[in-house]
Amino acid sequence: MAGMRAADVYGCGEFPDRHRPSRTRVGPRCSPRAPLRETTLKNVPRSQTRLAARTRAASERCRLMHELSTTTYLMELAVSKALEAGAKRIIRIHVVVGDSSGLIAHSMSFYFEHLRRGTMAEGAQLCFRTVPTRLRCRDCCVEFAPAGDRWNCPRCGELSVVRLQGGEALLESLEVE
Amino acid sequence: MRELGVLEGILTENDRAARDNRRRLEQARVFTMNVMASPGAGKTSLIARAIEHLQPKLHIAVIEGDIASSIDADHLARMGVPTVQINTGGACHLEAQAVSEALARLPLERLDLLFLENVGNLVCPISFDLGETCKAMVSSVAEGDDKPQKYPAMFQAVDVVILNKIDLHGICPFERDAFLRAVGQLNPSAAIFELSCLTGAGVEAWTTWLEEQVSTGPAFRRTSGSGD
Repeated sequence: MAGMRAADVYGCGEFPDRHRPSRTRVGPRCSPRAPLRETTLKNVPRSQTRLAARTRAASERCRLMHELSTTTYLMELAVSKALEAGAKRIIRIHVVVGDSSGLIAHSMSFYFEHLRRGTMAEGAQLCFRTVPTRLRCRDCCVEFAPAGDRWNCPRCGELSVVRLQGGEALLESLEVE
Repeated sequence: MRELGVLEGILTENDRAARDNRRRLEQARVFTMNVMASPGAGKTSLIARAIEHLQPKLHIAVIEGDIASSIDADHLARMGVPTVQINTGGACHLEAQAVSEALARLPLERLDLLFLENVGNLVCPISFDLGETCKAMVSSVAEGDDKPQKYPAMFQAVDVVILNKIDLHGICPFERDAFLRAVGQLNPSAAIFELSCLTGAGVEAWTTWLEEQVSTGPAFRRTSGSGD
């Protein structure tokens, strides 16, 4: 992610070489500093790299939330899929978000408004399909939707549950032209 | 206008970088533990205790994720372990690409154990696979016994739960049995350790277990990030 950088190496290699039969030599104590990645976009033309700059700008102005990272990944995936298909413009992006995925749709929409500018998704709509959380109690075998944030089984009151759905975060489809 | 079916995880790119990290770490035979917790639960102290007990038997390094500052990295570096600081610039979690950059600066071929200290947060870090061998979570007595109820997805996503600050039993209201019962129900396969990084109580059991994991090879093989 833009703004997330490996910075300094401290206290490198204060221990002796260890002996492992499969190794013939030990590498340098510390790799030279790798060049920093200037953009989060891969396989995307330069005209689309403004997205990375926008992510950086947003991170400077506000606390980067989970949704900014996620929406940036979403945009990258959408743009690369649209370009692969030879599209000129993205009209709608359909996403599936589970309601216990930790993602908030309106936060994603907020960041999307910002990130889409100057990209092929400039006029695109972000459409959500929410998947409600479903749990199953391992003891009672009851399937249920949790009441609010409480995952306790409605029959036995315990937490011996497995999540059947609700953790999704998917790009379902794109409408393009 | 036409429709393109995609049906891919939004975090596919992160997952790809995580797979690369995992391959590199497995090739170098480095046991990697992603340490997650809320701020102040004792992630850095737990890592420091492990270093104290396991060095020089094991060659240890740390990748330290913080929103800002290098306070924790400085602390661990003073213990003589290679430490790479990642300042997330505000982001509430570590991501695989940043870890990949950090791995390039570590002598992986000479390491046995690598800690990835995640940003203090009980929601976002579980969505981002980093390529770790094992996910650990630190919860502390001071935070209360209701953490499993409040963050069930986190408790289900990890391989080991460490309850820290047990020296505060009796000072902070904390129902130990209720906590352990909820963790056991949410995640029956998780290993659980109770300890105090401050007093050292229980630390040896944890570090002995960790040493066993490192020396017998990864008992945990992760292939995807979210645990779903």
